[in-house]
Amino acid sequence: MSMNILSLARSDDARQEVKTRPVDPGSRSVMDLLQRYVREPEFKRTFSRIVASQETDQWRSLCVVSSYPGEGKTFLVCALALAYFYCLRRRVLVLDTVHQTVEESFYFRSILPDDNALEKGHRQGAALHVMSSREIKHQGSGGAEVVNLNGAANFARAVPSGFGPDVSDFLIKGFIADLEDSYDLIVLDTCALSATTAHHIDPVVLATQVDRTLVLATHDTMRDDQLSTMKERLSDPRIQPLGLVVNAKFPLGTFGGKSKKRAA
Amino acid sequence: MVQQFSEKAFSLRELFTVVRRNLFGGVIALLLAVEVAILLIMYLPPKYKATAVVDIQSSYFGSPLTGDLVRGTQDPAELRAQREALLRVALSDEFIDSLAESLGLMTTPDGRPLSRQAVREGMRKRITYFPGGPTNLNLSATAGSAAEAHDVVQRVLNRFVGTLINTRYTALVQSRDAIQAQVEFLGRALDDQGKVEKSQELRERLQNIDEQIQGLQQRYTALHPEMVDLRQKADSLRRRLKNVPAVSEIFREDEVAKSFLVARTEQPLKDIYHDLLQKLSYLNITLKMESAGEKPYYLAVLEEPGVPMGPVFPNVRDFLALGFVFGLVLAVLQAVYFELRRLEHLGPAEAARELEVPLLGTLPVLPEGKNVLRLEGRQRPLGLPEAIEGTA
Repeated sequence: MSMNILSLARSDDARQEVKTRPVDPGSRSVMDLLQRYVREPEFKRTFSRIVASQETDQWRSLCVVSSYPGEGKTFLVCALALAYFYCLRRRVLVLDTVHQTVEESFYFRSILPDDNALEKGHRQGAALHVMSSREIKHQGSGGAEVVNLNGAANFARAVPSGFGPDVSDFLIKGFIADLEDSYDLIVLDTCALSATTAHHIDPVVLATQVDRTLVLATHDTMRDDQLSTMKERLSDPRIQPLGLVVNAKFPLGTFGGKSKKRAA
Repeated sequence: MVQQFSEKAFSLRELFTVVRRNLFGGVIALLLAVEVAILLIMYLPPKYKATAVVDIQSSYFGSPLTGDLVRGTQDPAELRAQREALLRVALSDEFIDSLAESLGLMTTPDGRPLSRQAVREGMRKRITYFPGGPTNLNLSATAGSAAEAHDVVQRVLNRFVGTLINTRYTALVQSRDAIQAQVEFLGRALDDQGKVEKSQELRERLQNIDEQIQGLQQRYTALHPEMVDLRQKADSLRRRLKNVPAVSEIFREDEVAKSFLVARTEQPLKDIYHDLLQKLSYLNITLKMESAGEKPYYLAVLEEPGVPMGPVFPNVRDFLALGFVFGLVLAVLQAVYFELRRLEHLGPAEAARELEVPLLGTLPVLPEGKNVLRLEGRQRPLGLPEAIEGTA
């Protein structure tokens, strides 16, 4: 299997393709922050419930959705991935479906373990991989083929003519199915519900293709009208909600103003 | 926990919690309002106010020596209104115009003429008056400088005093002229009444002599000395009757004078005449006294206009107090606003029930603050250094 996974896909087959983790003081700062974050009691309790649910219901894929950008989806995904990798020694794949750009997530780049951690984790059967949606590989019968699901130039090579770039929304289910045996948890970072446009992978569609959907809310979105809107958007019977995680201690207005402006 | 308040749940502890929660915003609002008040005190153009107090005795409004003829009012409210009316008379358009011209208010700073009516209204607004006591009237004037305020109120006071004296003197002169005219009229009436009475007396005497002559004609001839004497008396009386009017012209033409004839005697007329003559004499004495330039007894300036020591506006204490009160109101309003906003939000459990999903937990607060949380995952956090090497 040859996977052009961003950063440390340290399988034997892909060892020669894996790039060195960048030495970035900024990344280290975020990493340090996340490592402290996952040690916080509130996160541990939340994490414990998620793990318990997974062990009970045996699900593999999880997407995190929220109403507005900036509510902490990416941060929560990073924290979950780190916790699964470091605390549970599990194999984790993070799929970034937020932006369809060539620029990878700074956060996701930051959580990648260094060589020693990867070696150690690999010996213990753990792995932490990150893919951006542009690098999601179509694991078809024809072998490894890099498919840019959203780039118009490469899209023509991978998808029959007549389909638009939005079909990448619907390819993810198959992609996840192919990888489910390779990972204990596939966690998807999604675009905010209110910020989704024709050029984004729709989080609602995404939620129908994963095993569980984790709803993230902040103090500002925990209002009747906001929750009703979110509930209506996630009312598809195929969506299996895992539960609600709250960033309730956000300072009032920090995200509210920003989110409302974006929604407008 | 649902962040909602009910009457039962709203305890003193929660009140303190609300106060503590909004304390910072309240203090900021308070400081902001006080700061605005201080800025207003510093930058608003100051206004100075000069005052004077005038005492006008109630006797001013009475008619001296003629009170029984022309009744003056004793009602304090009416007297106060009369004092203010006199001041309004003093503040005539001409005076206001001259005042505005002397202060250079008739034109704009660049020389363009202003509306005369607008200037008058502006000047009248700067001059205020109110009763300071039963007989006192407080005058005040505001201006942009202390000297100007003093000058304005001094000129208003002088004008008011002058108006008071002139009005009083004019009223006295009018009273004197009226009494004098009445005295002259009564004098002529008395004179005419005397003539008429004399005519009647002569006529009666002539009739008596005629009767005596008629009675003696039976016994005496016309040449009888007694008859001759009586005829001479009768002739004399007839000659005198020709020179005395039988009916007075003034009694015939003047309706008022006719009423004097009802009395059939001149004594009441004489009493009135003498009374008016006495009053006229006293009025002349009063006029000589009040026109002698002496300070009138009925008028006193209790407080001369002084140069104000400081501006009356903006008043530092009032503005600070107002700013403090406004700041408190602002603090309460912002607290109410944020508490209402807070009430709009549900708690985690309530939100989970609303979404019909289980509540997995509440995430911790980042120790580094909110800057990292504001990231969307695509950009470098604020304050974090650039990557040393390139990315994958």
